[in-house]
Amino acid sequence: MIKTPEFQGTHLWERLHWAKDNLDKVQSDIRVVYEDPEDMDSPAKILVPDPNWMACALQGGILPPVEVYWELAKDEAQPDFEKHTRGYLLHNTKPIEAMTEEQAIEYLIQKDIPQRVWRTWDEGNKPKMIICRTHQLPEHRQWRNAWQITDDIELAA
Amino acid sequence: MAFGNLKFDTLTTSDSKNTSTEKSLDTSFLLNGSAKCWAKVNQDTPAYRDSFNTSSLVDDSTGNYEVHMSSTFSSIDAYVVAISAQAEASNNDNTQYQSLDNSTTAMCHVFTYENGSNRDIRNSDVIIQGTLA
Repeated sequence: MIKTPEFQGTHLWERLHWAKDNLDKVQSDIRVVYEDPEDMDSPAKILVPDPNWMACALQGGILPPVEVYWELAKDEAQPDFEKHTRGYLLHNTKPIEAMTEEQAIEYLIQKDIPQRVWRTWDEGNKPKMIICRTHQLPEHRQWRNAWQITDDIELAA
Repeated sequence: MAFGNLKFDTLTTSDSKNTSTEKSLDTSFLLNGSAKCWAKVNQDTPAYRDSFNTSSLVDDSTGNYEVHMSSTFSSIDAYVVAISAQAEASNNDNTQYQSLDNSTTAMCHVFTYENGSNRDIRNSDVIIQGTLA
């Protein structure tokens, strides 16, 4: 396995260039299905991991801790937000070590799915979020806009 | 043979083949002018064909998906999105594309239409230019 350069202090975008040049894509068949409680009329959404990003996650030493994205999201949620002034958090925070595929999916959930979904995923009448494999999704998209998480879904231990 | 790094701030050409007038270009222009994020998406699956600087795509519904970025943009006004799509090779119908609804500095919302209705596109390409955080 190729060794990751010391990237702390290097712009994240440049790190991704290095990864694109040096790492093989990793296709994950894990998908995250979720329903947004603030948008209950919409069908279930499905998160698909980026194979290039997954390669970075499994390699380690490239991506910032997910908490950095939360901090930037907090800044952006301020009513007087104009532009990011703490972008350095992405580049100067010590990158996280190599993750397993499962850990990488947990990271992605916390980065790309609203907190109101994953923080309370198992509260309510049914789960708001399910981690599954591609073969567990419907085979065709004919009724895509009616997809929902079923009320009687059985969760793995 | 191993190659090292070449660091410089300015590119200069004699432009002898065209005008013979020397021209200079700040290399910052090259960096600022390059695409900061791109993705080729098959909405039918949905799946990535290839990408750069994205972490995931979220399939919201038919003809409606989100591209989440790794290296985020400095503001919502600091980036522009170019989208191209073709439903299938023989399709010359009126296919339209829109984006930037509910987008953030870390997520671009993409909609694909055909004749006024949302439509999943097999070849949906997104290119994002702008200033990163």
